[in-house]
Amino acid sequence: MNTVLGSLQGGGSRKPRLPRPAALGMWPVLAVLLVIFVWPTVVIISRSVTDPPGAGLSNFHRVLTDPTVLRFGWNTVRTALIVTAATAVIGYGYAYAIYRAGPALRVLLLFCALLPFWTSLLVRSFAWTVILRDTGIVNWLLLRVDVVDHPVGLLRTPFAVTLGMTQILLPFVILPCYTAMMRFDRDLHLAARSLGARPSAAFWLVFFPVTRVGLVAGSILVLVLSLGYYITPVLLGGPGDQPIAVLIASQVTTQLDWGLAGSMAAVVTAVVLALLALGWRLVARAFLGEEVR
Amino acid sequence: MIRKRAVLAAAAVVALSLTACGGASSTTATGSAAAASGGGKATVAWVDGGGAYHDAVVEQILKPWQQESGNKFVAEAGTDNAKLRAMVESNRVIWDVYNGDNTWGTDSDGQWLTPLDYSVIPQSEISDGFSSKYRVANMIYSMQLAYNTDKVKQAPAGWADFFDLKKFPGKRGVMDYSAGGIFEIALLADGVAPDKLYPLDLDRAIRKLDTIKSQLVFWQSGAQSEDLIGSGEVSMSMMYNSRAYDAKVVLKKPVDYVFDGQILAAAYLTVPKGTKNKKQAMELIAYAVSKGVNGKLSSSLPLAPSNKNSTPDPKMAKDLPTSHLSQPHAVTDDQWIAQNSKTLESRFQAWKTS
Repeated sequence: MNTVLGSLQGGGSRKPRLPRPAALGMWPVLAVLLVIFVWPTVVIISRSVTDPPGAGLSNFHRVLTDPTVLRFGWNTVRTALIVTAATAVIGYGYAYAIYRAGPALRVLLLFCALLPFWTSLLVRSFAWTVILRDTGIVNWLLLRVDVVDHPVGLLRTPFAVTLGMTQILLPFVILPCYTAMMRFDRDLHLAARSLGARPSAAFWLVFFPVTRVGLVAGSILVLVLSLGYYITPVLLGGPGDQPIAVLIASQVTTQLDWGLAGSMAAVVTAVVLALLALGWRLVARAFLGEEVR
Repeated sequence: MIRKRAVLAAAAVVALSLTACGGASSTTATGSAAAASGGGKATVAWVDGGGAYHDAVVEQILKPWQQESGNKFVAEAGTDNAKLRAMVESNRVIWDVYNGDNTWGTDSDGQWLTPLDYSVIPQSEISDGFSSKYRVANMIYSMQLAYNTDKVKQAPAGWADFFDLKKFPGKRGVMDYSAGGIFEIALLADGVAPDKLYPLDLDRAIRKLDTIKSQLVFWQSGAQSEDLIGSGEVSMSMMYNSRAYDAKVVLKKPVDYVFDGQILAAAYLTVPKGTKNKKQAMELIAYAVSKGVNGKLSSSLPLAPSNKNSTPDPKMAKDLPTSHLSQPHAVTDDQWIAQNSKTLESRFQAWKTS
């Protein structure tokens, strides 16, 4: 498989150098990120050991031993894993449909996939509540056609959270999968067929291994993003589905215990950075189409 | 630096998520510090919780005050305790008058507040228990039981009916906040006398809440509570009385409410530590709670004056919490809540997620 990938990416060892004027282009972005993202993050996390004065590791001790925090942490991880699995399956299938579609349909499918990017997260999450709640569209229809005699509890369930987050995060899987598929050399498929592979074997033994990089990269992004979700689980989930972001927000805004909030944020950030470190090469390869060393 | 700190206040969430997450609603207050140049006149920045209340404050209090005093005002919607703390800690305070809820401004919050100047503010005219070192109430509201009249045909009598799923089937809306009254309504329903509520018996409250837990819907904002009760998604809800009034009277939804068992609380005016316009802030507060002004909010909202000598709008009388004090009611013990807020919060979160 490595040789196939290697041949696809032109040997993978060429490293195009940026011409100097182009290199200048990255500095404004880095500077802005440093001021509005990196520095505040450092300050917040540093509070985990300095607030209250002399806190040391006591906040971390509280976070890692408090059953409520662990429960919220588990809610977060569980939801993230389920959403990642759902987006992986649906996203890869959808990308494959785009890949196989004719030019006109392809544009339409791509447009639909990107639609979530252009609407506010809050609006989309709220729209799901209107659809799913007891007095919502789905239950209205079910009652109308006499499938049920009292509303089915859809909203405020793990199902609603999974549905809402999956819909919102799908583009992060679809796009890298589609990119990987577009780079697939169709001659490989023909070669497999001509050597006697049935269509399903050609798909699973040749096409899928080559395009898997997009799936893995997209899944890592979704996992990382869903660990930080706040408003969607709050609006769509029940009391047992709430993520750790809810605890952090309550410590920041109502308890004003920024040390504890900082230590929770630090733990989550560490998990996210670890995941990114593990998957960074794949993410970069899927999005930039080259090896990162 | 202010920007940086404001970002910082939300950064715990930012650090987690690259996606937007809905925070404070506006950041319009600018330049109050720049406008303060000693002297008698200044631009005073006022911040409150927003909504219809914010509009009423601007019309009934801030504009007339600007006219009469010669000072200017900037009004912002969206109080945020975290933002206030960040301002005070970085010594860049842009809010001069902070209109917080009942849990804000007790002596436990003294490190972020300036003591009020009661030589300017008429403390003796304020109803007993509604003023203290750092805060003075500017209106009295209550947390009451509202119900959807399509779902509930016979008016419930109080919180005991709220917990009676047999007699009154349907979901129940509760505020998603440990100090918002959820423990209090459970204890009242369980038969605790309204004047014996505090200290709250949390074990008992949680046992009672467990009896209807599967039917509870937690709301995060007043607007959300109106939507839940107005659409019939819940058949009953605990609600801010002004929100219940808004759903019934202004939005004309099938909603009604009872004052039996209401829990009275107040909104409070405070002055952040480090304000550049301390003198004018005290003057504005004195104006807002004065006899002639304090009752004006009741012309459009069911909020009762905190000034004993103020007369509320007679048209609003039947909807004011203070017109129903002959019925059973409780009053929040903000001091106790502030001293026990960590316990309340951790018990609440642990119960919710269990």
